[in-house]
Amino acid sequence: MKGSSVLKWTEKISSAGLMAIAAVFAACFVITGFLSANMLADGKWHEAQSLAFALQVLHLLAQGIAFTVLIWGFWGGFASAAGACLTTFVVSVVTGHMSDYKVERLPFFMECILFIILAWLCIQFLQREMFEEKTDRRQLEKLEEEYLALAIEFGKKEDLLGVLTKKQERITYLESMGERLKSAAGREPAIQMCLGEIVQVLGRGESEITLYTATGITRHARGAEPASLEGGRDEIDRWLEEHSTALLVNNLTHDVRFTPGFGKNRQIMSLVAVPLMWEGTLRGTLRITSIQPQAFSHEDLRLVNDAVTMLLPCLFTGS
Amino acid sequence: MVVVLSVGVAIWMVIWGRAGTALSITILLHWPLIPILLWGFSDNLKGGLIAGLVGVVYAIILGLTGVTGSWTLTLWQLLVYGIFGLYPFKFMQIREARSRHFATLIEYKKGELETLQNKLGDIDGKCATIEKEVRNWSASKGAK
Repeated sequence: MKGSSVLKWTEKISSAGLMAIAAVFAACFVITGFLSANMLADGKWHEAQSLAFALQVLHLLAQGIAFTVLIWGFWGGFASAAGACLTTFVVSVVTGHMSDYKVERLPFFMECILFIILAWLCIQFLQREMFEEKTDRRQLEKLEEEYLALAIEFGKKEDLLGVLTKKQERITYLESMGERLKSAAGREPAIQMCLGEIVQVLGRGESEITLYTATGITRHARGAEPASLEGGRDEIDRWLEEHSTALLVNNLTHDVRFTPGFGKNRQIMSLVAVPLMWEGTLRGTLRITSIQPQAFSHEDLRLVNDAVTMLLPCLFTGS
Repeated sequence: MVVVLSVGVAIWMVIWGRAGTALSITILLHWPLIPILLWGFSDNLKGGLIAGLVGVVYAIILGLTGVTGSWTLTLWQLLVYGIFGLYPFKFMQIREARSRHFATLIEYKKGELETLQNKLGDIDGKCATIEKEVRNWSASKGAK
């Protein structure tokens, strides 16, 4: 029986309470001893021996409470029973010497058996109690484990719900943007509406569209007038033309697909670029850029892609 | 079980107690402690008190019939029977307090678990609905 589990019992009774119980039993023990001594002096040996037994019983009780149950468990019970037996033997011998009473072996053994049975009963109860406590504790631990597993699952589901809600919001937004684009008066307002709303939904970055025309390349930045680009197609345009797919870059300086100075010169760290493909031809690009690294996610890329799908008919239908 | 053991101890006492020797008095006076303790452990305060009272009556009868031979000894036995009758009560108090403590904790944890399960059910439902909407939207977009 381990001390740690027994110690939990002591937490339920105050130290002062234990001291009081011990003091009461100590007082009873001393008083009984005095009574026994007085009776022996009067020659009442039989009563003295019986009182001595009562003293042992009290002794056993005191030890039982102090050691058997509260502190030492099984070994406390063992020690208290052994101590009570030994004391009974000593008292019997002393009484025998101080009177003409001859010490008999059988009553002594009977007393010892009684002490052992009493101590055993206390230990049995203690063990039953400890077993119940262990079972309760195990049930509680199991529930806690179950709760923890559920809490982890709940956390994951919450994250998933967050992602899905965001996705749903974006879908709603895209659908409403699609409706607005249909009623936009001309190409430039449609471009400005699309660029502005994409940045608004993403909450970061700058947006622009470059359109390839017969006369050259026109840059449509958000909130600015269209301007012709002198330098022609850059590395991003070339990459999109070559791969015909959307591009997500989260650290342009260290991206091996581009030359080391490209991002630095443009002051771009993160980038989402989507090719404007119409009737199988690359007609331009839509870019969202940021000076922060890791600014965009795949979800952002998907949103821009979907927005471009809605914008394309406004740009090229009838052109 | 307690009844059987008590009857067993009573038979044991009758067997050894008939002789009228020092041994028989010792057994008649001291061995009732076993059933008293047993009843206390099995039936809490009620069992301990009743068994203790029965022990007291028994000790008085022994005193009145002259078996004990001394009223001092009889009174001491009354004290010891009383203490042994109440002795398990303290254990039972601790046991019940412990049991209540754990029962409360377990009940509380079960409640928490149930609440979380309900919340999880709700969130699962919401996720399923949104996932369905998103899938439908993606499918309709693909169709276009």
